[in-house]
Amino acid sequence: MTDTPKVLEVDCSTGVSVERDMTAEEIASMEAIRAEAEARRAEEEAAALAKAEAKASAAAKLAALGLTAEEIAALA
Amino acid sequence: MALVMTPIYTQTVGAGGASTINFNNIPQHFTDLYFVCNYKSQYNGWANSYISFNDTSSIYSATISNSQATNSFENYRQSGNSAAVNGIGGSNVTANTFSTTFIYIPNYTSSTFKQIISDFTAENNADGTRLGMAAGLYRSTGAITSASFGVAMGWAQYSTISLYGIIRSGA
Repeated sequence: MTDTPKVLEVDCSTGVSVERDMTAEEIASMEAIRAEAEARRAEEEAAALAKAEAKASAAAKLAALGLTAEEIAALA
Repeated sequence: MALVMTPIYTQTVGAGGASTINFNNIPQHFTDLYFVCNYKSQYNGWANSYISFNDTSSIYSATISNSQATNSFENYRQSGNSAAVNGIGGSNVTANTFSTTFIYIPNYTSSTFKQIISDFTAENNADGTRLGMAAGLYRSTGAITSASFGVAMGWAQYSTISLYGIIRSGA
């Protein structure tokens, strides 16, 4: 059995802070946030990979034109 | 313009973490709200965290601009039942290092839509600091009386969020 996720909650008018179980609606919202984080992470990783591959390809083409490694690095 | 900033409450996450951090019955006599967040998620990776207020219907939107080391990401636009305020680290980042986010909400009791303005920094020795800014909108005409903070897999122990009320004289 897994523990029910908790909510840390304060009533600012009284300063009383409690920890309570999440409601089903709150759990659904938290799951949606987790799914969005996973999707966003996949997008960022794919974008970073594409950028790195494009950079390597460009460097190879510049090298084929006769630029030195130092000259290619200076363009970055 | 004179400015008075009053601490309202600080919440600290205890052992076992917390999925959500809520502030209820927020006093209504200030002009603006200011949240100072020092937290990390329990998610194993970078993730956006979100804020929502009284109403969790789909009336929120946000744009985040952020960069990390040599990476600069495209603006991230989001809409839904909460507004993204940052991109922060979790269990992937340096141990005992927490991300910092400042969130400013001007005119939170007004009858117009509410702005959500934030800036953030997240440290990670392995792949560099991530930092950025976000601007969001809470499309409600009601005064903000509660705020809720969520992130993938919840908040790690020792995360803190402090709420301040700001009075702008002449506002």
